[in-house]
This record gives sequence, C-alpha cells and structure tokens, in this order.
Amino acid sequence: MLTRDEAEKLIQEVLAAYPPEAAEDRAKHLAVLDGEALEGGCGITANRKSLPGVMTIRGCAYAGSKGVVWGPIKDMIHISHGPVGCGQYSRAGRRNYYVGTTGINAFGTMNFTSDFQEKDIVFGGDKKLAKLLEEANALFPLNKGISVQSECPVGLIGDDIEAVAKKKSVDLNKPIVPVRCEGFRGVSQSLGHHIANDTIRDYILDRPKADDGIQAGPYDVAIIGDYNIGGDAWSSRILLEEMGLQVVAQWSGDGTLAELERTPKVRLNLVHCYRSMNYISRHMETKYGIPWLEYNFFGPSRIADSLRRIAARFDDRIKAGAEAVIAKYQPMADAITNRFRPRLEGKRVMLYVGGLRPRHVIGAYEDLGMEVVGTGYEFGHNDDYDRTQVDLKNTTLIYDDASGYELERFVERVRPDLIGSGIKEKYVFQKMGIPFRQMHSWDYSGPYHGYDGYAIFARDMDMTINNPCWKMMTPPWRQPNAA
Amino acid sequence: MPEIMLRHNERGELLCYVPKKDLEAVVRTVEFDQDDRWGGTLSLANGEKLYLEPLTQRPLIPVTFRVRKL
Ligand code: SF4
Repeated sequence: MLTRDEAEKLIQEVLAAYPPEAAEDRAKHLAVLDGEALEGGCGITANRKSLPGVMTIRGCAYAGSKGVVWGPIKDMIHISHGPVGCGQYSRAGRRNYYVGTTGINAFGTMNFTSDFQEKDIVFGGDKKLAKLLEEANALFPLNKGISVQSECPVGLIGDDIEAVAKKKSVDLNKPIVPVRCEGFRGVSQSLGHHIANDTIRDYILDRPKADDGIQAGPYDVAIIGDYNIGGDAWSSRILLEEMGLQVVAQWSGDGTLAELERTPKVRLNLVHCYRSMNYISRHMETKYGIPWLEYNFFGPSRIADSLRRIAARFDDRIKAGAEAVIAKYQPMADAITNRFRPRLEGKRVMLYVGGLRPRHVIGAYEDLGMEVVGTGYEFGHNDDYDRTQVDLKNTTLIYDDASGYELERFVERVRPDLIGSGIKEKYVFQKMGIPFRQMHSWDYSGPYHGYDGYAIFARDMDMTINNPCWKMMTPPWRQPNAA
Repeated sequence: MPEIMLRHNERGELLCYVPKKDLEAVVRTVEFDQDDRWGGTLSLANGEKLYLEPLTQRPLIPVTFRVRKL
C-alpha cells in the first residue's frame, strides 16, 4: 500500500498534467483517505458535472432509469422513446435474470423503441408514441403495464408524453408511466434513479386502485435495490427466507408490478443498493411508516453481520433463524475461504464501479485476505463516500468520477494485483498486464451476493489473478525500453 | 422552501435529508425540543441551519416538512 505521502504525491503528479483550471476542479474529486477524519466525512466532492474533455465512464439519466430502476421489472414493457440507439445499447447488458417466458409474460431482454426519425423530431413524436403503445399492447397482451423512458430528443422537442400516457392508460386500462429521464438531465445516471423512483411513487404506489385485500404478514419484507445480476437477488432471497422472513417483493430484479404495488404493506424494506433506491425507501418510510435498513450480502463476514442486523428488527424466532442460517452456511463459507485464501492472501485490489460496490465488496475481498487499496464511484454522492470511509483503512486512494487518464496513472503507480471496474476499462488494463474483473455485470458470471455468490466470487477472483496467461506477457513497465 | 425528511439513524440520532440536494446530515440541535413545542432552528452537522415553524407537539418521525433556509 502507498504511504500517505506517496499517495498525495501521486495525486499531485496526476493533476500536474491538467491545465490549472481543470486541475483545481479535479483536485476536489481525489483524496487520500484519512481514517481520523471520520466525523466531517472524507471531504471529497461528488455528484458534480464531469469536466468536458476528460474521459468519464458515467452513464446518463436514461441509463439510470431504464437500465437500473424500471428495466428489470419483468412483466412490464419498457419503451425507449426516441432514436433506436439508446435502447439498443442498453438492452439486457446488465444480465438482470428473471423467470418467465420472454414475450409472453416477461419482457426484460426485449427492446421496444419508437425509433425516432427526422420527421418525428420535426413534427413531434406524440402520435407515434400513442400508436406504439397500442401496438405493443396488442402484440403482447399479457403485459401488466408500460413505462415510457424518454431519451434526449424527446425532452429537447418538448413532447407531452405525460398527456399521451394518461390518455392511453385509460384506453388500455393499465398503468402507463411516463418517465422524464432524458439523458441530459443531471450529471450522471444517478438522477435517473431519482426520477424513476419518483415515477414509481406517483404512478404506481399512489395510484388509486381497489385494495387487493392481502393482509400483511408479520414477517413480510421487500428486497430493494437488488437487480438480480447473474441471479444475485435469488441467492440473497434464499437466506432471508431461510431465516423465517417472507420476501414479498423484489425491486427490481425479477420483480413484477404486483410486487411493487404490494410493497407498502411490508414490515421492513431491505435496501441493498442505497444509491439507486434510497429515494423510494424514504418515501415509503414517511408515507407508510415502513422502516428501511441497508444491508450487505457480499462475503461471509458482511452477510453474517447483515443477517443479525436484519434479525434484530424482528422477534426471537427470526433471531434464532438468522443464527441457524449463519451456522448452516459458515462451514461452507470457511471451506471456500480456506481453499482460496492461500492463493489470494495479500493481493491488492483497486476498484472503480457504480453505486454500491465500491464499498460493499470490500468485506468480501477482506474475507479472502485481500486488501482494497483504492476505490471510487462513477456516480456516487457525498454520503456514499462517507459510508465507504468506514470500510476502508488509512491511506487508501479515493477517486470520484475518475478519468481514463487518472485511472491509468494510478494503476501504473499502485500496480494492484487486480482491478475491478467496467467493460470500458477492461481491455486497457488487461493489456497493461493487470488481472481484471468486470464488476458491473460480474464478467458474465455471478451471482456474487449471498453465500452461494461468495463461492463464485472467490473462484472468479482466483481464476483471474492466478491465470497463467499473465506470465506470458510483459507489462509495459517491465519492457526494457519502456518510456 | 426546501422540503426535508426527518428520520432516526441506527444510533438514534435525528437525520435530516434534503431530497433536492441529496444531502443527508445529522441534526445537531433543535431550538425548541419540548413535548408541547418543537421546531425552530435546526442546525445540521454540515453547518447549515434550517428554520421550521415551531409545532405544538413533537412530530411522529419519520416525517416530511417544508422549511426555510437560514
Ligand atoms: S444521453 Fe440521451 S441520447 Fe445519449 S444514451 Fe442517454 S438518453 Fe440516449
């Protein structure tokens, strides 16, 4: 690990390459973590506009709404309203697994788009949208509702998608949710989460409907902010149900409209990805009095800790259930740790990911004897950094919305044994000779949540770091005439 | 008139959340903190101060209020 001085020097070096104004701005987003300063937060500036000209790996508000919050709701049709590209490129890339028959009662991997052409931009796309809603509904009559995810041009030309949705909602007799998530809103996908949460509130939870008559059970809970990437929510759900809780809703991986509608009757909302779903949890807390709790199901230590914290909100039966679950799986977790820890002990990891992983996975790495020496968020807010701080030791490099250049320089200097980041960074770092895991969609693997996920996580990290291929290439800094 | 949401954190402290700014901060002090009078100036851990028209009773938390920035 770099010492504090080395890390600070490294930041200065990186900043030196920028023009003075840019350097001043970027300096606010880079920090060396000081465990002492816990009180006032780690002092990083987050959730600000990316600097024009530097490479950012952020997504847009549309990506936040369509890709994260609404997209995984499987029994609804999600229309990408605008040109074809946004929908096509965001189509099923996150591997939000679901059960159901695609095209019959599940639509997660399908791409619905209004495919704007020049004349739609000139004359407006409202008529097209109305027609599209009818067509989609006629072709796929078992859909439970439709969301309209507006792309940039729709906001720019000022189409009134709310009016179309309102009218068609009556005609088709199902919820049609217009989501004003044009990509240009906000500084990153983060605002898209917020906007999408607000539309769930306004169009789904607050929608007047006949009471379904379902009585809430004493142990009803909802999983909030788990997108079931590679089956994550399933391996989490198993544990919650084994300890005696009843998971009545999954938001939003493998989730359904009926589950969303039922959530205001649960006893506790269990929030995994705070960044994307805290808004709706707060709403349900104030409006329906449902408390929420953040938990972390990466790695056995955090799983056990989370299970106990969840159980503490319930009676002795659930507390005993949690202990029983931990006792049952601990031997399995220990066996995994014993097998992989010797192969991974002391390896250093740098992370740069999205909403929850820059901090949530740290525990899992530590369970395997690895050390996280740098971490950062693409679109985190200040409170995310404050939460991260608790999980990190001193002199760890922190970077907010890092540019390609910054990351490369950091990596060159820190030379971690593993990098966990997104697909855009993957091949750059692999070519630099550094083992890499794609930590957005688990590199086509997963699940990583829960005990089952830990087994796969440990195997994947070992498989990546100890892959013999690394011995067959010479990274740039070992080449004799390296600049 | 920003909107704020008040809740308790796990340590039992009063937390203020400002949705517009996505800001979450502990409320350090509440000017009037009695059962029949609650509100006034709320000072947040980040140094900001908000004014809530005093209520005639303690609010049931979690709750949403409109406040004034001081
Ligand atoms: S920024 Fe606009 S045009 Fe680009 S992907 Fe997002 S919604 Fe589409």
